[in-house]
Amino acid sequence: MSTIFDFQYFLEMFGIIIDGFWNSLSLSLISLVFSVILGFGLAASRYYNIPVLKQFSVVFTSFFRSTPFIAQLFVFYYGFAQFSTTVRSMPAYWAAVMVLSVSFAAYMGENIRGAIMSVDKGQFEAGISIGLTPWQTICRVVIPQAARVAIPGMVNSFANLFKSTSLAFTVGVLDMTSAAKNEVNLSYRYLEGYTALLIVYWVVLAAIELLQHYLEKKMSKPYVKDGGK
Amino acid sequence: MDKNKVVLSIKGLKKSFGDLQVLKHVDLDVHEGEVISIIGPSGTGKSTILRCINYLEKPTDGVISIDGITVDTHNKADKKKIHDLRCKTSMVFQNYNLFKNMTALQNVMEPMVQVQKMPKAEAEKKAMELLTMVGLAEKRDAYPAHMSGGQQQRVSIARAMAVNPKVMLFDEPTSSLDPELVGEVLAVIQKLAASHTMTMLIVTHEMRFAQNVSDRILFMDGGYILQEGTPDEIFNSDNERIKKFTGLVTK
Repeated sequence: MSTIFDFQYFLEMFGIIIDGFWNSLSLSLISLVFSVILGFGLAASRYYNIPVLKQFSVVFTSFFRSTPFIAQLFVFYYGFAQFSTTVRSMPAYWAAVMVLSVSFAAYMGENIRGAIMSVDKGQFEAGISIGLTPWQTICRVVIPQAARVAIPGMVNSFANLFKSTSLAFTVGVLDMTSAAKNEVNLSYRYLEGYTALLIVYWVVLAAIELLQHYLEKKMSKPYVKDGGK
Repeated sequence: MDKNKVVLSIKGLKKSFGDLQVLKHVDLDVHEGEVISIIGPSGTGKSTILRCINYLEKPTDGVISIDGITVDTHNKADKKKIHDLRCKTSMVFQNYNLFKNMTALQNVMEPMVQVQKMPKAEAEKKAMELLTMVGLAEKRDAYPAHMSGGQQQRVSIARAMAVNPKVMLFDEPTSSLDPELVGEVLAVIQKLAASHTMTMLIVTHEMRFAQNVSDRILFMDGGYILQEGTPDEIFNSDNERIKKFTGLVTK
């Protein structure tokens, strides 16, 4: 261990981290889809005041936003496993998907609810006044306008979701973090190993940020005064 | 067009918001092609009548019939019937309420394509005719945010006509506009009224306009129709309340 920072080793780390990269990415993308679907349900039950579901949504959101993800994961994967054979036989990867989806649905739900609330009620009234059904109005008028508002918050939540996949290694999922950890535990080159890991997270989320800026610009065109020109 | 045919009939309409009774009892028959203005002080239920007619507000009590579709508040109205009733009317809102995610053309095409299931090409052709009628053919690809309030309101009139309604409802169509934009919108409504092909209910504070376009004027106060009659009858009314109001706003 002659040098402080072994650059050659640092570069090699990227090859090792890639082993876990696809797991991290697929974990986060699958959980994103489920958390958005669940989030829609949570947002709708609150926005439309659906009895029982509304109260459930309030408690659900409060609980998952106020407790650490890793503790949620442990309660499910280790705690529930004590009595549930389903959980015991469940692959760690899918357990992580489940807890990520449920946990981040709380955030997605609030993003979506806020975005729907930002759409003027008159838009909905105009829709049904021309003979659209309420459902048609929601799909064709409310959601397209809400989507633009929801994007910054949803990207923010996705960034947190993507980073939270690093905690899946605690239940034995081979993700980027665990790939890096396993390697540096043998080489003791912590600085190179974990710096490389941080850079991979950063690059992925920076790319998503760029996509966000592009989408925001494109979607705001109809709504800003000089955007039509 | 049959001048004697009642196209819209309201019987015993009442509406409360919580403890506040906004409409106390309203009966009204509207004939085909008739242009009716509803005037009166703010907060007396003028807009609420319009909003009850197309069930944007569910009446507390009463029966509404439009062109053979009858919805009675007490029979648990099914969604289908309320939807049918809504398709018989269209509304021009105070705040225009054009769909902000759609261009002028798409706004006008929306009821034809999505509700009437008209082929797109045909809907586009009709929508362009309507936009031309309101003098905004060149704005076809503009989004609401790129138009003035007056232009937006004219597009919304075109959209309301695209519904092909039996009755058009105008809810204070010029109240949100800059004074200098009021004229262009009133001109479009006036043109439509003069053709007497469309049955129209107009809630307005523009007295001169109401006097000019209406076949009949309703004066609302305190949740009732205080008096109804021809423009002459209303503007020369003996009723102190009406005299005071029309005197104040036309001065």
